[in-house]
Amino acid sequence: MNALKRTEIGVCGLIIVFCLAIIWETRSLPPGHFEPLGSGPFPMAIAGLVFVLCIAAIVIAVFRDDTGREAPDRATRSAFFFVAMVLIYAAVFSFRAVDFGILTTFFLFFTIGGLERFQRKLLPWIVVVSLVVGMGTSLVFTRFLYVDLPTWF
Amino acid sequence: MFRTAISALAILAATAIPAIADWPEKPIKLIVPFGAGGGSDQMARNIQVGIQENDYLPQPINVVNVTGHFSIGSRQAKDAKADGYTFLQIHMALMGGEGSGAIDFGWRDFEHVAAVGEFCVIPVVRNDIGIKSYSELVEKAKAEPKSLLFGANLGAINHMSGIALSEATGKPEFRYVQIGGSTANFTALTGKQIHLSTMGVSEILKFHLMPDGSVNPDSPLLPLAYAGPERVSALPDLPTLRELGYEIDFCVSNWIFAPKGTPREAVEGMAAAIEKATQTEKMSEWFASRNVNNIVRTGDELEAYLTGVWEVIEPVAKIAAAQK
Amino acid sequence: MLPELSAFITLFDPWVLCLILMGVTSGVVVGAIPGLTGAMLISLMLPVTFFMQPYDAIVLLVSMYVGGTSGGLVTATLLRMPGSPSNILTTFDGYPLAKSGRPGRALGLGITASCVGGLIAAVVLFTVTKPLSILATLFGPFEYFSLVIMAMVLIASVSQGSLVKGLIAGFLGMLISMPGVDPSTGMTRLTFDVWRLDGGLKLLPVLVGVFAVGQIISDSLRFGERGQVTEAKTEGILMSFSDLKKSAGNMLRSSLIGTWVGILPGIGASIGSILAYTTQKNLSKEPEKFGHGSEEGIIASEAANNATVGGALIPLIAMGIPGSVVDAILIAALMMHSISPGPTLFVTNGDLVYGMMAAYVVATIAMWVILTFSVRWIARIMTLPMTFLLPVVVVFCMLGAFALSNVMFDVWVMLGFGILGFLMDRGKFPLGPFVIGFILAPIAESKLRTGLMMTAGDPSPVLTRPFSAAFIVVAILLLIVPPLLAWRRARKSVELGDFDAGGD
Repeated sequence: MNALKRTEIGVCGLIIVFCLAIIWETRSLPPGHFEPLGSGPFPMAIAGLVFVLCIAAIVIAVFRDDTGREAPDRATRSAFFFVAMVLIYAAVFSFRAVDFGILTTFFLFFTIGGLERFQRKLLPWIVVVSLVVGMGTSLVFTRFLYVDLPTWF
Repeated sequence: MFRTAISALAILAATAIPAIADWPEKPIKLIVPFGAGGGSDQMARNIQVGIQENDYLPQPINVVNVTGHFSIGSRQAKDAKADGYTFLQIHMALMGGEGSGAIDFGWRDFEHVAAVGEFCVIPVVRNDIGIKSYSELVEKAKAEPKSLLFGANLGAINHMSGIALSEATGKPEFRYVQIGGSTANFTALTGKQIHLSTMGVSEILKFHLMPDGSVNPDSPLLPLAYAGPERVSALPDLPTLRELGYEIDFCVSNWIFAPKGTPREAVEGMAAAIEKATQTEKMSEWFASRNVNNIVRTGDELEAYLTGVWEVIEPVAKIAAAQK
Repeated sequence: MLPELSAFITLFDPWVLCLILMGVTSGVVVGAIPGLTGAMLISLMLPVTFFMQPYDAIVLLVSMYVGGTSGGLVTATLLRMPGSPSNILTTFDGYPLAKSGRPGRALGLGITASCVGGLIAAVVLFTVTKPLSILATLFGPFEYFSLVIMAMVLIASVSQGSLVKGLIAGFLGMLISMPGVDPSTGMTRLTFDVWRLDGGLKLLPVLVGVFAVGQIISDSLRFGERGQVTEAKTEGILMSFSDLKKSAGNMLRSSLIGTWVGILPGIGASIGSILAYTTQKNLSKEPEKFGHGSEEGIIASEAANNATVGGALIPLIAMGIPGSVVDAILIAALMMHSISPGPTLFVTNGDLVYGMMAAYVVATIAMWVILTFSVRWIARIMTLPMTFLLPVVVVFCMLGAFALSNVMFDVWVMLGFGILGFLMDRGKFPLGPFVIGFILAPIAESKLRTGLMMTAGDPSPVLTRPFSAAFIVVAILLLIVPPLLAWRRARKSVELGDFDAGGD
């Protein structure tokens, strides 16, 4: 089974689980008072529909002939690194321990730097971009417009 | 050596005593659990400007909108550190939510700082359905129960006002329809989708009158009564429900709360600053332009007021919930 | 005609023109950055406008509104990341055209279509505002329901790839919109006891997550790959006279559709662009190009979404009713200055009203000028190295998601949907119907149930009220006719000995 089919079936599987969860929850919803439907029927009907469609999609995928079809991109180390950095950035941000501008500057520096392997000739650019975007957005969104970002100054 | 220890302890003690006597020492956060631009948000921003422009407090106030369901922002305020730097602006919807069981906390989980401004509702019908007075409305609704469509935001203030009025005026049965706030209801009344609704004074003035105070000939509305203690000066011909013999007011104000345990100095300091802000010319004008009564309640008066509102709203919310 | 003219003349004050320029530029920049939207900029600017004159504040905000709606087309076209929901349809054709080496043309078409759409809406705004607004109030819940159902059928019919996957995506999007507050009862449902879901999932984190973050993850798999677009051709930016003639019908139709949808309170640019795009596809002589870089598709989508801005101003001016979410913020700005828009706004603040309308026109033209002259530079974005671009875009996405409500939850939602969007795209599930389903489902459900409340449970008005019936008929036709035609064409080609590669 090729990567495409694995992804399709995987996604359909996730969706099916979600639909079942929704259908389960709707059973405990009260019927409508002001109108006959209530909160339950719409979600239940749609979840049921999606469930059926997903089964169909899985069946189609299993029996489909994919010869000659382009394979989807393979996972790379760079991609993992990047996603990991993004998650770390979000996590540190959520603790509100670090000033937003500083955190962002570091995130950009290490992420772009890491992806470009800290090549000498690119370093100045990386530093400039990190500082401008990091401190710039922090300034605009805390001094000029007001967003509840963690700040140290 | 002993002396050094004592002085060290003294210094430690002095710095350890929470510098609450110097409240506020850093910016204050005022959470508004509604979107930017709505009525609550405007009140908050007016308070902010009123306090800041006149330096009633040495630190700035930041209004933070937390949108989505109002319980989310309210909960954020409830669970915030009770250090005097977080406040919440909310209104009757909190009691409605608690009363109907939709949310698991309520007004008694907060320190109460102030109640600001007040306006009362006006039941209003379409002017082309043959109803000319409030008593005719009650009659018609009792003769044909559930035939009159009442536009509301189910679970919110206008819905509760409809139920409260109905309970106190002979229990006419309306059919409640989910439409939205006063603007949406005005659209629905114009488009002949619904028969009646309740609105605040400023909305009635906006939708129904010309700038010079005369009635707009294009207006599809007919206000029936005023649910407040005295007639509104801009609507001199509109009787109050009390004058018509019904013992009911339904008035709404904005409340400022703080997390439970917030130090007294912060609560009283904020209340004092708000009170002063409402006395400024700018804020007085703003209140007047929106036909909101410039009232501030704090301390014991506030507690009594809130308890009174809860006594009205709790049963109404339960009825609203039961109807769902 | 005098007040309108004098309004335009007042605009030629240097300070006012400066405001318009600043407004449009900042709106475009913010609208273009994925993660940030024009609506967010406007709501964050609101406290700042408190200190301005009402006239100035309105001119600035309207200019930002116009800029924001147009800015979104830039990243929709170049990066497949719509700057706002109204630009989702532009990704269908703008991105393929740009990727094929013609980003300048793709951008240029979008820009000109946006301008024309805005101007046509302005004409409607200046002429038939009052009667149209009254007409719009007759649109009841059943009409809204049928209109939305029709739009959902349209988007499913237009999505790329297999019909089954398109339907899954669309209905899944609808399902995702349901946890939270049930708009018809005010009670929460399907929150699985996660109190942060009490308010439901918001559009921005879902949109930015699925399109932008998902696209970022997809693109990150290609770090260091050569073969990126290294040259951005910029001829064909300006539409030639014959281009304009060819697209005149398209632009006019799409703009009028957008204007009308804008007038209806509660539904906005995304629906307008869907209706215009699918209408054009069904009327086009080259429907197979749609989704692969069709110029008509770009024009239809962008003309309509800018027209909805003008359309949304109509009920605002005539009756004080906001035609869109941003309108509500405009009303708030006015109320901060003690001006409460209502049916008599023309009388009490006539100069302000005409100022708003005139500012809208000038801002639209300014937008065209600014964008057209920067296209060369903008198109170069496609040539920037992904290693620099993507992390920066991530920062803006985080900022945008957080700035929405100052709640971390929205950021996690965005990231989660980023992963989902990546997987869906990888499995060839179309993203457009997913987000559209998310937007439309709450409207369809709540309107239907409001209607049922009015009729005590009787759904027949869906088919008996004229407009409602018309929309349903169109929806049914659109469900039946294209597959029928395709089937007939397939039969013919089988007879002629052709074979179609299995579509997916």
